[in-house]
Amino acid sequence: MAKPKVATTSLCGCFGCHMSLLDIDERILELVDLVEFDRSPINDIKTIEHPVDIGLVEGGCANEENVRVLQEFRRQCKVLVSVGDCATNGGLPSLRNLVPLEECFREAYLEGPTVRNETGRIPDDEEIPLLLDRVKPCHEVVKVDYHLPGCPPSADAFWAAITALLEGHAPELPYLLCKYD
Amino acid sequence: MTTSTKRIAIEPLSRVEGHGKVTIHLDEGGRVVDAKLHIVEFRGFERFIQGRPYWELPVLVQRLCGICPVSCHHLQRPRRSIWIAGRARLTATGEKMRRLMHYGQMLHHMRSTSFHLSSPDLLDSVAPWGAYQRTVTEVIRAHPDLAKQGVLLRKYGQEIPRPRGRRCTERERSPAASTRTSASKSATLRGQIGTIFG
Repeated sequence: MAKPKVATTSLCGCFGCHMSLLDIDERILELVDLVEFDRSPINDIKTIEHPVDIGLVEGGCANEENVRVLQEFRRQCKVLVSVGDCATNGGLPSLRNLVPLEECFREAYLEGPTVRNETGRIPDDEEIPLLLDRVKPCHEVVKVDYHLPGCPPSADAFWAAITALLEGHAPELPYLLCKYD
Repeated sequence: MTTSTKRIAIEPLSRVEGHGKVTIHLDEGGRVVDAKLHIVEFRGFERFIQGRPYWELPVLVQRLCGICPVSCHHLQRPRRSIWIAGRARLTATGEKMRRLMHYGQMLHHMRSTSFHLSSPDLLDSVAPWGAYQRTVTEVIRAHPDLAKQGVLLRKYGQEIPRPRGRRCTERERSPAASTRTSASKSATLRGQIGTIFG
């Protein structure tokens, strides 16, 4: 029987969720045995061209590229999980929704106390994806099947969710895995 | 200036820390006329942290990058910003605690870098048939013992900041690790590490 396929990606996130996934420690050896990774920073595959069973998405959507990748994931993933608070509700990057985008640019590239920008230009290369006016959680862009909360979700939460999905039932996190105080 | 006719894009960059891509532009003869590294993420932290309570800063700026949040962000940047804001310098004990956390994170982080990110390239024997197969999953399959060493050493590094800097690392929140590292657990872990170096 073919191994189930898993794909992961980081959109507007900090890779903390992926690091937390690696925090499953020795269980990663088991995971590599249980599943095959498709697109993921873990194994370098850069596009998701075939259907996969489980897609884990870290980060919300802050630019057009994030939206494109997320839509691609939705097309190919049977089960799509938004992982962490950025994917689930926009998270910390969505604090920029409280101020005009122009002010963020001005502070970062022109007026900040450590900025040395003699040309006075704000980066606008066509290779840089255009920013959305506001940062959006994944479920505002595509249908999401499950949300894994936490900033980041703990390694045990990842393990509970992944193993439940591999066993074919909905993940249920015990109270302690989604208690943050 | 020569105009480029072919564009090669490496996107996204994986096995580096952060979001980026590289574009290489070639002319008709296949010579490189331009190569660029693009940092494709913009968040706006510089602006949106302004006006927030200062005690939020360590928590906020850790989320700039989650790869080594203890060293890069939790310790350095908020500490500096607190200095800028006129707070007293750290006490000697505080400084030592932070250094210890930092060294733990270095152990954890360097292991992530050398094992999870670089080892597939360094261990050529893993996949001499091509770069596409050169991944950490292949390393785990081809060298399970080495993989275990890499994973355990990273785990050990991650354990060090945990009881000293509550909430710095996610392990703090996991119920399995919610109590402080017990002596026996540390001994087991050290035993495992011992076998690595032994």
